[in-house]
Amino acid sequence: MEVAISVRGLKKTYKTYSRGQGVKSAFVSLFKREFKINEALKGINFDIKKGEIIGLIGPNGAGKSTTIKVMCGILHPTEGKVDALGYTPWKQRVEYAMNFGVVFGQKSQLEWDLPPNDTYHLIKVLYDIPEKTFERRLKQMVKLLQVDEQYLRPTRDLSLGERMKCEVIAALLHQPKIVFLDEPTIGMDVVAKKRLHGFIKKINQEFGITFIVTTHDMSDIEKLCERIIIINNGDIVYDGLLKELSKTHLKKKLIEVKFSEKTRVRLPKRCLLISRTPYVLKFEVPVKGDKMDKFVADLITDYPVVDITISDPDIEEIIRDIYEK
Amino acid sequence: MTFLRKVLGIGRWQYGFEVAYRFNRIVWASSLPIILLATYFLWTSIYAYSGQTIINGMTLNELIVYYLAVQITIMFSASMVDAHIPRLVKKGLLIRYIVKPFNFVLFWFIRSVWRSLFRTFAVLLPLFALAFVIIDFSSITFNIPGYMLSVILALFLNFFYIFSVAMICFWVKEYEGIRVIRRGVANVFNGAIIPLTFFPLVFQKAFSYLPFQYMLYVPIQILLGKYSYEQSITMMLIQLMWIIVFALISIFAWKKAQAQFMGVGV
Repeated sequence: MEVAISVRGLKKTYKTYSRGQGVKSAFVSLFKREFKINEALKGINFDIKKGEIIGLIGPNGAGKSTTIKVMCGILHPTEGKVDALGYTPWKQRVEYAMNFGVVFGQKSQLEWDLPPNDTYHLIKVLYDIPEKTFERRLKQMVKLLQVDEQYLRPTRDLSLGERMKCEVIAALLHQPKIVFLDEPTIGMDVVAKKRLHGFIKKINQEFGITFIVTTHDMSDIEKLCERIIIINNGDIVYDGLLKELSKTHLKKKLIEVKFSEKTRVRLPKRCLLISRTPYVLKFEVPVKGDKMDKFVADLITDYPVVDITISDPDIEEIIRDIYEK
Repeated sequence: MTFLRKVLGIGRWQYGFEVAYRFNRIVWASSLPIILLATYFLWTSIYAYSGQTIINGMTLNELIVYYLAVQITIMFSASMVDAHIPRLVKKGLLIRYIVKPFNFVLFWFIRSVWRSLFRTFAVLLPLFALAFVIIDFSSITFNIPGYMLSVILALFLNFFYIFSVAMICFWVKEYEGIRVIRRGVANVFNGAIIPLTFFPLVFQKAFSYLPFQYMLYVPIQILLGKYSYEQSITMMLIQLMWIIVFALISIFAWKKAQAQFMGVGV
């Protein structure tokens, strides 16, 4: 499949100033300021194929927003190359902008004092969208996302969830080839989230639009993305399929055992107790290679077990483990 | 054709801002005649007290026309870019405009012109309603075509000058102090507070080497017929020269500023 975005050796360093507390340090900082060089990105490499929905995740301050901002042409990197649809984002800003859309959950694209509809009309002329096409797309999208009344009200009067839906429309009206979604479901209820997930999948399949999603909400990732990139401390720590993540990074299984009579089991040291009642025992057991821990097999033969459930920890937990490493 | 569609589209969008807070706009529009009236009373008593009919080459009537022209010219040619861009930079909201497929400097210029047109249109009626009561227009020969040309040049000059200064906000983060100084300096040196003929000759000479008087004072002098035909042409050529200087600075500064932008808080 064709590559939409290719990133090679991307580095970004920031200079941040700091000063201590109190009048003295405030005075000193007037003449001599202390600064620190922060490495937001330490030379990352990845490719995104056309038509993919990819999840870019990482803890706070990991560098994912910096990556998105460089890919949008907002930030100039310190080093490295980005080829997005043949453009260098920060050098060919105007030409490249025609081809992508972006939603920043924290920074509205919509003007606070104006109804989203006014911004949509500005988008129409700036992106050269023919009048009829514009009307058709707008009608379709406001209906699909259920904001057919809200988009005519000033943005300041909308709820966060309604505003986010209107933001998504603003990013998609010109039918871009790439869409960056940074925290797109912020402030949305579960129904609205589900609707947005469906909407993104639909237009991804219909028009082959590439989506790059960053979020802290794992349900977005699980519903939308096949492939994820995990960034931590400015480095990529995982780049692969979501379902492969549990295979490669799964270090434990969750075991729940039910007994037919009151039973007390002594857990070996390598197992971690989660909860215990006379009839039910829950614990974690480490995974080594392909074999299940011998203790689990012994448990079935040695105790009056009526039921046993073996499950993987949820994706959020696996990712948390990776973050904490 | 598509460019014209874009210009009109930006105008329609800007109009939304103008009517977003109607009450505020009406209060603001009615404040201008009040200021003009106060100026009228102030200068009437100064002329009466001095016992002269002409001060620094201007009659009372001419001076009031001068202040009326100051208000209209500022309304038409001033730009708001250094009130808007620094705020957007500080809050990280400038990304809205950076991700749009349009030349950034041109976008803000078009927006600025539309804003000037809407606001000038909004204040003309209340201002002239008062002006016809306190001013005798028949005693002055106006050079309206000359003024129109010069005021359009002033519009360009103001925009590029203010845009150039506004670019400082990418480095200093908090720009408000610079804006206050920028406006204060301009208002003294461009003749908005008092006509430049009221300054000593040395100052007047010095002002002619600075860009400020070409943003306001010069178009008004042309309107009031203070310059000969040749002088007017020379003045407009100087305006054009300053436009080129600040347009080049604007484009260069914007190039440098983009690399500085952090897009905070995203």
